[in-house]
Amino acid sequence: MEKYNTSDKDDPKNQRLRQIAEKQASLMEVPDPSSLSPEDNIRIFHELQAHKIELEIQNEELRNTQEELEKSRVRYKKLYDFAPVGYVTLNEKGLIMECNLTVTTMLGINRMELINRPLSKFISPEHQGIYSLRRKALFETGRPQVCEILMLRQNNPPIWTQMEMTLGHDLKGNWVCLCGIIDINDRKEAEQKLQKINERLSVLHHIDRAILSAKSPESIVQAALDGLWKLVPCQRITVIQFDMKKNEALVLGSVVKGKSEVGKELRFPLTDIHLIDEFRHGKIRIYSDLLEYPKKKTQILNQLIAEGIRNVVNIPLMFKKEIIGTLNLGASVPGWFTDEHVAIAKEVAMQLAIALRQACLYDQLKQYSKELEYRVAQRTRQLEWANKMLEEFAYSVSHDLKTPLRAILGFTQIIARRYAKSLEKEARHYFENILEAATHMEELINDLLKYSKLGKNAISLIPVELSKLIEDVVSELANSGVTQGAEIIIDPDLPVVEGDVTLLRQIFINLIDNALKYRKKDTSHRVEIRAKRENKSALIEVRDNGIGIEPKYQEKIFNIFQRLHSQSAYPGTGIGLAIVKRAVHLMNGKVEIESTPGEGSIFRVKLKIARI
Amino acid sequence: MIKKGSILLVEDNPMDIELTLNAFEEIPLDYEIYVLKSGEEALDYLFGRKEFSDRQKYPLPDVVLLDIKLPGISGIDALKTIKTTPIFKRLPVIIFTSSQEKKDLIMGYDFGANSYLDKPVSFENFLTSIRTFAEYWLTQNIKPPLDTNKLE
Repeated sequence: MEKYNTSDKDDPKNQRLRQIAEKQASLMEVPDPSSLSPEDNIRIFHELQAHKIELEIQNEELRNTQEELEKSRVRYKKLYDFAPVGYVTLNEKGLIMECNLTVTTMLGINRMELINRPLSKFISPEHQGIYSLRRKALFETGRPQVCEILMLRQNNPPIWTQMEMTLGHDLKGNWVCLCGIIDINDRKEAEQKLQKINERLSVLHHIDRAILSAKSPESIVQAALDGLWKLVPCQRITVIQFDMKKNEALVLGSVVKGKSEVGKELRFPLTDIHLIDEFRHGKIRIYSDLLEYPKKKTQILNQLIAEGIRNVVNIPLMFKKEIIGTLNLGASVPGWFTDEHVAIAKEVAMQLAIALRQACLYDQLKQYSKELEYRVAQRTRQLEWANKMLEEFAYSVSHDLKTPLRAILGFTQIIARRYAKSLEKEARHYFENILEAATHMEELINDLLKYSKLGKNAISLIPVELSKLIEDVVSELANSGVTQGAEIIIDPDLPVVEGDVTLLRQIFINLIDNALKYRKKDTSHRVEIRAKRENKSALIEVRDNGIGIEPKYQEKIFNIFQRLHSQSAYPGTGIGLAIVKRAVHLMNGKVEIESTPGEGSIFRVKLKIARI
Repeated sequence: MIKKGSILLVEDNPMDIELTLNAFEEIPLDYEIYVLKSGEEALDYLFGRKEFSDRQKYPLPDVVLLDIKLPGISGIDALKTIKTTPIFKRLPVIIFTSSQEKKDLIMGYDFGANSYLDKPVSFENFLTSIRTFAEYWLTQNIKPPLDTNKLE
C-alpha cells in the first residue's frame, strides 16, 4: 500500500479527505472477499489501480488549475489594489465590505479600520445628505449614480472625490453597491482657485468702476475701501493722502472692524510716518508681527499695537513715480496677510492712486475754471460798468455840454445881431472868434455823439444798393457846398452789399467828405468812387488826387481826435475816420488806406456782397 | 393889452430860459409865457395849487413846452401826470430838449408827447425851431377842448 500513498499523505487536508472517504466507504456494502475468485481479485486490484491513476491525473490537473487560479487571483488582487480608482463594496446597509488599497491611501486609513464600517463615517458632514440619497437611489432603481463628494482624511484636509456607484451582488447573491472613488481634488482645487480668481477679478473690477465713476476723493476712497474689505477681511484699512507742501498727512478714509468712515479730515504731520522716504520709491512695507519689530517704534505703530494690531502692510499710492499717499492694512493675527492679500491690495492701490490724482486734477480744474469764471464775470461787470459810464458820459456831453455851449453861442449871436453896430471893430473881431470857436465845438460835440452812438442801436444787415446810397450821400454833400470845385466820378456798376444803411451812410459821408476836403492848391480836384469784386466781397474805393498822407501817419489817422493839419488849413474834428473804422468793424468789414504824399489817397472798404 | 393865450415853459436852466424868451421876443408873439422851473411847479400851476390857485392870474396854457431833464419830478414824470389826468390829456405837450437819447424819445412819445423838438445849439437854428413851433402849435394847430367830455 505504501507505494500508492501520495506524497501528500501527511498533509492534514489529505488526511481529512482520507478520513471522510474511509468513513463513507465503511458504510458501503463490502462483498465477502472469500466469495471472490483470484481472477476477481486481480481484476478489482487492476480496476482500483487504474482508478487511482485516473484520480491522480485528475488531481494534478486540479492542482494546476488551482495554481493558475491563484496566480490570476494575485494578479487580479494587485490590479484591484493598485488601480488608479478606489473601489469599495458596500452592502445594503452601507457598510464597507471590501475596498482596495487606493481607497486606503486616498483616505490615509488602514483597510482594517474601513472594513465593516459605514462609508458615511468618511464623508464630510455637508455631503452626507447627497451620499445617502444617491446610495438609496441606486438600490431602489438599480441605475448607476454619480456624485461629487468631499471625503474626510486622516491628518489631512478633506479630499474631493467623484463617486460612481453601480449595483452588483456578492457571492451569496445579496445586492451590493460597487463604488468607484476617483480623486478629483486637483481639479476641484483648480476650479475653486479659478472661481476665487474670478470673484477677485469681479470685485476688483467693481472697485475699478466704482473708483472711476466716483468724482470726489471721498467717494473714490469709499468705493475702494468697501471693495477691498470684501477681498481682504481684516481689522483695519486706511487710506492716507500726503501733502508734501504742507508736510501733512490726511486720513481720507478708513474701515475699522467692517465700519467705514470717510471725510473726517483727520490730519497729522508727515514726520509721524515711519521711514516715509522708503515709500517715496514705491516700496511696500510689511510688518508680519509688530511686536517683533526690533527698531524704535513711532507713535503711530505704538497706537496700532495698543489697538491690538499685529500684522501691518503699507502700500504706497504712486502716480508717475510720485507718492501721493498710502493704503494701509492691519490685522490682529501675526502673519495674517497672504501674498494674495498683498497682491490684491496692490492692485487696488494702483487704481486708487490714479483715481485720486484725477480727482485732484479735476478739483483743481474746477477751482481754476471757477476762479476764471469769477474773474471773467468781474471783468465783464467792470467793462459793463465802464461802458455804462462811457454812455452816461456821452449822454452828459449831449446834454450838459450842449447847454452851456448853446448859451455861449446864443448870447454871442444876440450881441452880434443887436449890438454889432455899437461895437468897436476889435471887439467885433473877438466876438467872431468866439462864434467860430463855439461853432467848432458844436461840430466836435455832434461828431462825438455820432461816434458814441454807433452800434448802440441794433445793426441790421440787409442788401443795400450802393449806387443809390452813394448818389444820396454825394447830393447831400453837394447841398452843404463841399463838392464845389471838384469833379466827382461814380462807378456806374457799384455792387449791392450786405450792410446797415445808417452805418454805410456814415462811412461814405465821412470818406467822400474827407476826399473832397484835402485838396492841393492849384490843381483840379477829383474824387472817384469805384468798386472791385473779389469772390464774395466787394472792395469799394474812394480815391482822391489831394495832398495824400505820409506813411508814418497812415495807421494813426483812424484814431479818434487824430488830426494832421491845423484847423485853419483844413478844418475838422478828427472824428470822421474813427467813425468810419468803427462802422466798418461793426459790419465785420475792413478799411485800408493807400496813400502817396502829394499824389492823393485811396481808402478801401471791404464789404460782403449781398446774396440775392 | 389882452394876450391871445399863454404858453407854459418848463425849464430849469436860466440861460435856456433867457434864450427861449429872447427867441420868442424876436418872433414876436402875442402870448403870455409862464416860466416854471421844475416838474413840481409845472404840475402845481396846472392843478392850480399853492401860489397858482388864482386861475385869472394863472390861466390854463394853450401849449406846454417841456424840458426832460428837470430837478425833482422829471419832465417825463410831469408828462405822465398831465396825460393821465382827464382834463389835461388833450393839452398839447411839446418836449423841448437837447437829449436825443432813444429811451427819452421812446418814453416821450409813449407817454403821449404831442411833439419832440431838439433844442439846437446854434442860436440861428434855435430861433428857427421856436418860430416853427409857434407857427404850428399857436397858429396852424386847432386847439383841443380841455374838458372831460367824450364822444357820444
